[in-house]
Parts: sequence; C-alpha cells; structure tokens
Amino acid sequence: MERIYELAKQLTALPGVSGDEQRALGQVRELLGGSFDETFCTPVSSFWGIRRSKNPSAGTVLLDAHLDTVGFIVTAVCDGGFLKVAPVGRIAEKNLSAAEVWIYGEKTIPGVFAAKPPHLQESGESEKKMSLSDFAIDTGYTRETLETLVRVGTYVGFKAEAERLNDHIAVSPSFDDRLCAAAHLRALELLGDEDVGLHIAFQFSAREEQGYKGAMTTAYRVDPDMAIVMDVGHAYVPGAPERRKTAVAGKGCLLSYAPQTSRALTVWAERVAKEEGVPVQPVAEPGRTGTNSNAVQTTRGGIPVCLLSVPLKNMHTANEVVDLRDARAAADLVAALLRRAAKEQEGLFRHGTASLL
Amino acid sequence: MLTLIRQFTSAFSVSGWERPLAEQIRKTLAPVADEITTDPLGNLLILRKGKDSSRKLMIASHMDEIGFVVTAIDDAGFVRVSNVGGIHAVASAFQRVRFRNGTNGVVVPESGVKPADLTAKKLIVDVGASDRKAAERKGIRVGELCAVVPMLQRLSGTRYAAKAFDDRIGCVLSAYTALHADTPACDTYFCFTVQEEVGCRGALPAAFRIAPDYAIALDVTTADDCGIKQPVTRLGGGAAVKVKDSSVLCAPVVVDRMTELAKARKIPYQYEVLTAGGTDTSAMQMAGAGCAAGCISIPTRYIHSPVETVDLRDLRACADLLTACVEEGMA
Repeated sequence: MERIYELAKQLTALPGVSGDEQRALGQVRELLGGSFDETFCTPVSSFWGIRRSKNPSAGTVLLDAHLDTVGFIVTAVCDGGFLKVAPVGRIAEKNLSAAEVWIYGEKTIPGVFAAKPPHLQESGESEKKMSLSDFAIDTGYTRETLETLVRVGTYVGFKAEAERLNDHIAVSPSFDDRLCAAAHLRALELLGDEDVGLHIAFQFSAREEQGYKGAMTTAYRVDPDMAIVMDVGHAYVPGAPERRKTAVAGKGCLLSYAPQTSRALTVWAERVAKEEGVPVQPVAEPGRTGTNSNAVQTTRGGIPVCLLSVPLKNMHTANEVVDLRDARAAADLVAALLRRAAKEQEGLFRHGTASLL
Repeated sequence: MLTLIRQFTSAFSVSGWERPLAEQIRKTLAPVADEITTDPLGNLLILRKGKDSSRKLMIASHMDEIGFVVTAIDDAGFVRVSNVGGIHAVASAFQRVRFRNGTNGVVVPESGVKPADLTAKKLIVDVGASDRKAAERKGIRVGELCAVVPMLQRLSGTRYAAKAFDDRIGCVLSAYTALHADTPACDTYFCFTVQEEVGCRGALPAAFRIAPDYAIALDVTTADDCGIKQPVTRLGGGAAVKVKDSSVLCAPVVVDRMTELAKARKIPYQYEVLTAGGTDTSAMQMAGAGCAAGCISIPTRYIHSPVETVDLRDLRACADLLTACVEEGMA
C-alpha cells in the first residue's frame, strides 16, 4: 500500500488535462521507462510500453489506464486578471467555488476559482445552482501581464498532488485515473523479473475524458489478445441509491459485468480473486461503462476486456477520495491474472482461435 | 477564388447525395492530381505527391450540407419531412427549397405552431400539389432529399452571405490550395468528405484508408460577434486555429505549428475554443492508430441558416495558412 501511494503521489503530481497530455509525456517516460523494454508516445499523446516475454511468439495482454484528467480551457482573458474557462470533460460545476488550479500557459501559474463569501451573497443566492459561466479564475496578475502568459486555448487543471487523510484514505483530484495507473505499475513490480509467458503492454492513454480516443488508437497499434482496463468507479456514499451499495470504498476493487466487458474473462477474474484471497466487489453495469473498455473492446476485430475499478468518492471534483487498500487489491489481482493468463486463458493467445470472445 | 465559391455554393449536396459536387471538384482538381480515389462512401481523395513520401498529410473539408428527407406525403399533397443534420427550425421556416430533381417547394410550419414552439419536426414542405398523386408526379417519394435554394449575395466590402458556406467554403479553400500551392512538403491528400453533418461518418473511413501522420480539417466556426462580449471568433479577425470543439481536443503540436507558420508568414489568426459543435477533426484523430489532428476554422456568422456570412479577408488568411502547412509541412 505504501508503494502504491508513492507511485500515485508521483503520478498525480504530473499535468495532463485531456488534450494537453503531451505536457506530461516527458516525465511519464522518465518515471515509467525503466519498467518496460520499449516505450512509445503516439500522435494522440498516449504513452505505451511493452515488457516482452522471452518467447517471441507469445500472446499479448494489454493493461490500460488513462493519462488524462478533467480540467478547463481558457476562453477569455478578462480585466482584473480573471480568466473565463470552458470545461474539458464532465466537471461537477457547482463544486468549483474556491478550487485551486494550475494554469499551463507560457509558464505554469497558480490560480483559484473566485468565490463569493456568504456575507456578500444576497438572500437565496447560496441555494442557486452554480454553473461554470458563473465562475472565473482569479490569478492575481494584471490583465496586461496575464495576456503575455495565457491565451485562448490555454489548459487549466486542478492542483492535483495526492495527500493522505489517514493511514489508508487519500485525496487528489487526479486519482481518476492516475491511481489506476499506479495500481497497474505496482502489479508489474509484483511480477518482478518473472516471465509470465506473455508480452505485457501497458497503455497510459490520452483523451479518455473526450471519447476514449487515446485508448482506441493505442489499442489498435498494440493489437493485443486480451485487455485489462482499470478506471475509477463511484463508491457508495450515505444517501446514494441502494443499488450503489455494491461498490463500497475499502471492500476491494470492483469487477464489472457489462455488455462492454468479456463475461468469460470477468468470471475467470472473480474466481482468481477468490482463490488468491483478493477482495473484489462484482458490479453490474447494464449500459455503457463510461470507461476505456468501451473503446478497447471494439478495436480491430474485437478484444476481450476485463474491467477493474477502484471505488472513489467525489468524482471529477477537486477532492477525489479513495481507500488505498482497494488500489492494492486491484494491483494484486492484476498481478495474479497476468501470472495465470498464459495457462488458464491459453485459447485467447492462439492467433485466430480466440475462444472467449 | 470567387469563381470557385460561386460554383461550389450552387451545387446540391445534402448528406448522402454528394455526387454532383464531388464530380465538380474532381474536374476542377484533375489537372493537379497525382492520384484520384473515390471511396465506397463517396469521399473524394486527391493526392498531390510531396517532396517527402514517407509522411502523409490529410486535409478534409466536407461536401455535404444539411437538408430534409421526405418521410411521407399526405392526402392533401403536403410533404412530411425529417431533418438531415442539425436543422435550425426558425431559420428554415418560410424558405424556398429544391429537390434533387429540381422540383421547387417552400418549407412552412404546420398550421397553428407558435414561433417559440417551432422545431424541425413541425416543418412541412408545400410543393404546390393538390393531392398525393400530384406530388408523386413531381418526383416526390419517401427518401427524396431537398435543401434550401442556393443563394450567394455580396453584402458590403469583403463580406458575403450564402447558403451552405458550411462547408463549401472549406472545399473552396482546399481546392484553391491544391491548385495553387507549391510542391507539398509531404504527400498531401486533399479529401472532400461525405456525411459530416450526420456525425462525421465520411472522414473516419477516409482517414482509415490514408492512415495519415497529420490531419487538418477545414470547416466553419461560430463568429458570434454581434452583441456578445466574448465571442468564439470575430468576423475579419483572421484564420481561426482550433484548440477545442465539443468533439475534439486538437493536438498541441498542430496548434503550435499553425501558430508558428502564421507568425512567420504574417497571416492574421485567432484561437478558437468552441463549446458546441463537432468537426471531421475528431474522426481523423481516432481512425486506426490515430494521428496528430487540428483544424483551420473559417469564422462564419449565422451557421446552419440560409444566410451564413463570411469575410473574404478571413478566407485569404485561411488559404494562406493552409498553403503554409502544405508547403512547409507540419513538423
């Protein structure tokens, strides 16, 4: 768990609002390069690396987590050093008041979403539903100086480095999906130098929050035989509908039964989790899963996908809260699946005979 | 350029039936093409070979326009229609329309519909038929397409209004550049795509076929500069370098390269962040293993109305910027 937190802390400190991922690619390569035999950056700004098996004709398994985060893009530089912004990805707009951000202009500068103190609000104003057009980002610069640093189209992200609330609970606005990348990387560390008889590719994919474009295009290039996609899921909070109680923070990683995942792989993953003593919570997602599994599954001739999720509270806000034990469970499960896949899912890795589709 | 504008804006090219315009463009560009392909969807792909054949640039502008498709003819001879693409009901009401075979009609709201309640579903086409048979004799059948009658009008100075500048003006810029640019830096495909208005369905397979390294879309963008304090773009403000629309986040390498080229060639430009509306840029970015995609947008007022308005100075800037991209390459 310490190691996952350490990895997550490093990864959450990186920039990478959807569309601006290339800003992070250099550091991603530096941080993760050592874990792979070869690494690549794609035209859509995804990173991917591959760890090769000694057997060149081995099958390929793809691990996916997305690199990008939700954020904002500047639409106007205004008097008094304020910025108007539009959302990038789905933002919980009413919660923005007083959130801290980084503005990735000519140089990276801090800013805060301006907030109207309760003393100055008129009666009834605090009940009003706020939307992004009600907000502006205060930078503290003059308009003239600000115009030399920021332009229409400059990206803005939440201040994101992870912090701990207590031993196993942590908070960061980019746990979606940096925490899952940390879990995948931890799984690879758990394998050490072990050759599992498969090539293992990991994609840190761009543009997930904008229609899965990074995952779709990178998976096309990797051309794997199966994929394990990891993303964050909504954890139950008091007051949420009963049906959400199947995903509780601290009770293990989530395993999705969905039209957009492979049932056979999911059943297998659940069995492996049980046998290895890893806590998992099966969830049913009858519609779209809202993750890269949607895109990876339909790449090329179709790829069987297993979707793991780490339950998370306050998604797409400045304070995403997770239980690190769930991330540890996810890492343990991925490592176990990788160790066992070549043997137990042999049919998938014989080209042209994918039996589990 | 005006000749091309006149030719292209007068063609009938509702999504799904782009053939006449494609034929016109093919004829126009045949003298400079190294290779001409029409793919199964109807996309027209025109290759001009470059100095470096190891890299490919794809340029896409869409040939199709919004319109109506006939869903039924009632006993009284009124033609019921459904929208093809994002029809602006208010802008379409009381306009003259023409069918593929030349039959004329007028688009009107159903009786009793208040202006505030007007939606595309409540529009019907009157072709002057006294009953169903009469309409059928005029060549109207279920599935037949119609669009607002072409119009091109010079306003004052350098500004023109027309129907379907979206995206004939992109086609004009692409064709103009294909005709006049020096030898491209790399192999350059000038693509004229189909079915953009119904979800960028043409550009995706076209990009899949070409597998470009770089892609540039040419399309119109909102110039909402009448009375709004922070417009998306300004008419006359120069070529719009797209950063974002609701379908795409452009590759920063493309945005930066366009900026660099515009500065070097002293081309007026502005940045565009559009919070609604999509373009072929998105489809090209995600085809196959993906590519670095961006878009040069033409500032346009009153998009999806019969009086879309552009400024020739912006067109000049867009053509110059596209020419720079083609001649000097994207890297």
